[in-house]
Amino acid sequence: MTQISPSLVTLGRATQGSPVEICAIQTSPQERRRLLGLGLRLGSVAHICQGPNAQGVVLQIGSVRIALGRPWLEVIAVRQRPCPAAPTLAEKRV
Amino acid sequence: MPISAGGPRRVIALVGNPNSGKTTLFNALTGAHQQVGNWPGVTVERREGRLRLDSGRELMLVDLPGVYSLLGGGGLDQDIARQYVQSGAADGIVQVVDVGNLQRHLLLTHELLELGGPLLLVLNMMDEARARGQLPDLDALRQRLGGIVVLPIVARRGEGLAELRHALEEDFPRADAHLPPLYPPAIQDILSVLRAGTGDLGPLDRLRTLEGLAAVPPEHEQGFREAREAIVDKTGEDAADALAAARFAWAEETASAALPAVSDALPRDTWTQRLDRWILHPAAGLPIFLLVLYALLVSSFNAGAIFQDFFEDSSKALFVHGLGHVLLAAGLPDWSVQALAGGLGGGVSIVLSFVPPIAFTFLFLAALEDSGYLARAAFTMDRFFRRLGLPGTAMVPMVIGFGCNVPAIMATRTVEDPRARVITALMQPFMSCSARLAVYLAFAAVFFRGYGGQVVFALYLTGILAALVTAWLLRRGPLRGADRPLALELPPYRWPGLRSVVLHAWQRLRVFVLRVGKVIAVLGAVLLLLPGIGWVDGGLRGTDIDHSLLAQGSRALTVVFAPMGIGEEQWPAVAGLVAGAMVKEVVIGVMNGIYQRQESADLMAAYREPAIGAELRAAVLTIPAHGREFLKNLTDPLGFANIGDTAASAAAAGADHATLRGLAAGFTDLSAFAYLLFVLLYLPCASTFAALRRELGSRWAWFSMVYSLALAWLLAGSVYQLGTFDRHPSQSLLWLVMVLTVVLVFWWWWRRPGHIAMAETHILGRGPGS
Ligand SMILES: Nc1nc2c(ncn2[C@@H]2O[C@H](COP(=O)(O)OP(=O)(O)OP(=O)(O)O)[C@@H](O)[C@H]2O)c(=O)[nH]1
Ligand SMILES: [Mg+2]
Repeated sequence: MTQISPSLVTLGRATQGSPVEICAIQTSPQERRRLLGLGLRLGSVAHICQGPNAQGVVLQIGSVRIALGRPWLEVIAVRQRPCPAAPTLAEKRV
Repeated sequence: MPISAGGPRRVIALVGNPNSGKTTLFNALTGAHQQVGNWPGVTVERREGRLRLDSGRELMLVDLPGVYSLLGGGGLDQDIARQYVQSGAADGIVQVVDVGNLQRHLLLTHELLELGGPLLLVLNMMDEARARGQLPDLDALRQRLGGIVVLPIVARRGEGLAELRHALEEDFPRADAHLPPLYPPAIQDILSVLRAGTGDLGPLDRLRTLEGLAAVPPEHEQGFREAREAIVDKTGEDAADALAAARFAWAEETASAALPAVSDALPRDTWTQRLDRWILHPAAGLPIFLLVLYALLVSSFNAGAIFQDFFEDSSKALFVHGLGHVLLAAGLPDWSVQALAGGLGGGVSIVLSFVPPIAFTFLFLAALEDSGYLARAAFTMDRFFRRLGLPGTAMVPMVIGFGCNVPAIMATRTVEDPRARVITALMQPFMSCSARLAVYLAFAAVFFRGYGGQVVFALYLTGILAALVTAWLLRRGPLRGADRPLALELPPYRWPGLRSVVLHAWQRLRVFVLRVGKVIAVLGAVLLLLPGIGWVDGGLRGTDIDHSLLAQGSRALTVVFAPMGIGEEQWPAVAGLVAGAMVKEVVIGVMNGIYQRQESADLMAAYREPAIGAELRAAVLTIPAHGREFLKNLTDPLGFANIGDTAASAAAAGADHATLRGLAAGFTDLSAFAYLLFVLLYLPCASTFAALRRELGSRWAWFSMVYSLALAWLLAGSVYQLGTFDRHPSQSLLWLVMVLTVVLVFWWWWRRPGHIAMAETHILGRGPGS
């Protein structure tokens, strides 16, 4: 549990309520451009407000809330930031 | 540098991220009433308005759709804004920024600075920033932006507009030499080299190409390759990521210089958070959405019913009895008084009587649009719509479509994938708009007294289902492919602004009321010209209505409607359908006019001795009576049956006795329902057809026409045939076999590969903005 480098997981396996860092977005330049416009890019730190679940996920980056449909969950890889409240499930899994 | 007063008018464009308040500002400055709403993508077309400054000079102000980035992303709406900015048509750009999201909005500022034109920044929503205790340091921001003008405003309340108007008097200062570099030195150098080698490209095109968003022109292949390699060398990232990182870093630095830092790990909008926990809940979200829609319809009808009798009775007193009296007094012959007052006046009064429920529908819709809920509904519905290959954002136009299909079709511009956009637009004509509501209510009055509400609701649902089936068919047929996954900004919830909601609803209602002119024209043609002449004894002669061209033509057409239980004697209903192709609310007006004329004695007494004063007084008194009823119903909020009763009795009063008798004699409950189903589905009205043609091209518009006619005929026929199966089993069976055959043949034709390829080239051939 006390890992030195937090592990990389798909967004679909991240846990609600925790901050994550966006590490990879595997999609076309056009789709990336769309996300960039919303303020989502590699290195952004996002707070997971809702999900991930059957609908997708709601992220908050800074003061912007972004809803992402389910297909994104497998396309975006994140690193869970150490969350003081609770060790994350995803870290245990990987 | 002041501008000469006599010179050509300066053009100033409002540019900014979606939902930043551009249209609110545009309205406040120009006195226009363009639609405002709390979700990204409200404005989908360019709007121009004149602005007279204090000095007497005039400006042309341009409101644009919101755009996140000039480089790419988003639907047709964002393309329109991008193209306009890039065209250089504006003499200056005012970027409208939501100060609460300063950092994100500065990404667009970065691109505008790179473009280099005259730029002014307004920081909007200062009220919300103040409430959070976040006051931007304007001087610091100005300095970091190279000395351009930065003004704080509250567009919604008009705060800060005087300063803005003052600043608009002069050409905006451009960012000067003190503008801090937009990129880190290493990247800046690479970009300078690239710029020198690709001078024929515009700055945005160059960036787009470098980031892999546009094809590299063959003559510049080497230049771009070298630049990309150099960027990877210097930063370890590919060009798109490195440039994005540089822009984000710039925006972050600039924002933090101007605003006290807020921790990004802690979401602070607790209201929005708390509401979203329920509204976006994976299990509760859908029921909440359905409940919202249901409440929207129920409360519109119930609240409308309070005033419906008043509109009904008073417009009848004035436009039917009053007009008839005046015409008689003027010495016109009975038959023409009958046609003018009973037919035209009656038609107008019927349309007016539906103003209250429609006004409330518009009012509640506007409030919903301004609350921030629609973006949530899009997310909640996304998982269901995705099965149809559509993004959840396709939900938003459908909700708007309950008011009117035309703005709904416009709103499909926000759907990013071109195929999905075509599908979403083709779904819209099936949404029960306010004009159709008028026909439903009138029929509910006669046939479905006890359960009118449920019938109307069932028709709404049928429309939604027809739209979904259409989407499914199109995805399986010529418009195959998957949609791009949903990525949507969720705005904070806001209390709907009373003024903007009322204004917005009024704008839409005005369109409905102004269409009375069209109603009069259509009714006039149908009720004045055609019924008087007929093909008798081998020639055109004056005749009574039952032998007129109108009757002859409509009667000939009743054959087509036989499967849904409409016999020859109901030819007025068919005449209503034909006229209703222009404006749907005319359907009931035409029937009203014809039935009246068939029983012409009915109203003459009322024309000779009208009691207009008493009628008006009685009309006013219906308001408190229905108001009390409404309050009583509040204790039984979902008492849907009541709508049927109140609306029904109201409508029954308006359609004259002759109409009621005519309707009741010709139709059974079942054939009336089949008829309503047909009215719901049969054709996009003339304005909707025009909107489809504008947005998708005539081929799709004609497709929609033929498809919906066929769907309406088959479905309405099937409902009637199934309902009367035991009366004539062999005939019903024959019908069903025919329907099945048609469906199978259609399916085969629909999925032909050549056909699909053709549709494809047709869509992709239409560029954005066309
Ligand atoms: N609190 C507050 N709300 C505002 C202000 N200005 C606009 N709004 C609200 O912000 C929302 C968006 O306003 P619009 O004017 O439609 O924004 P827009 O930039 O035209 O949006 P798009 O057309 O979608 O690009 C609406 O709900 C407005 O009522 C303001 O100064 N303060
Ligand atoms: Mg707008």
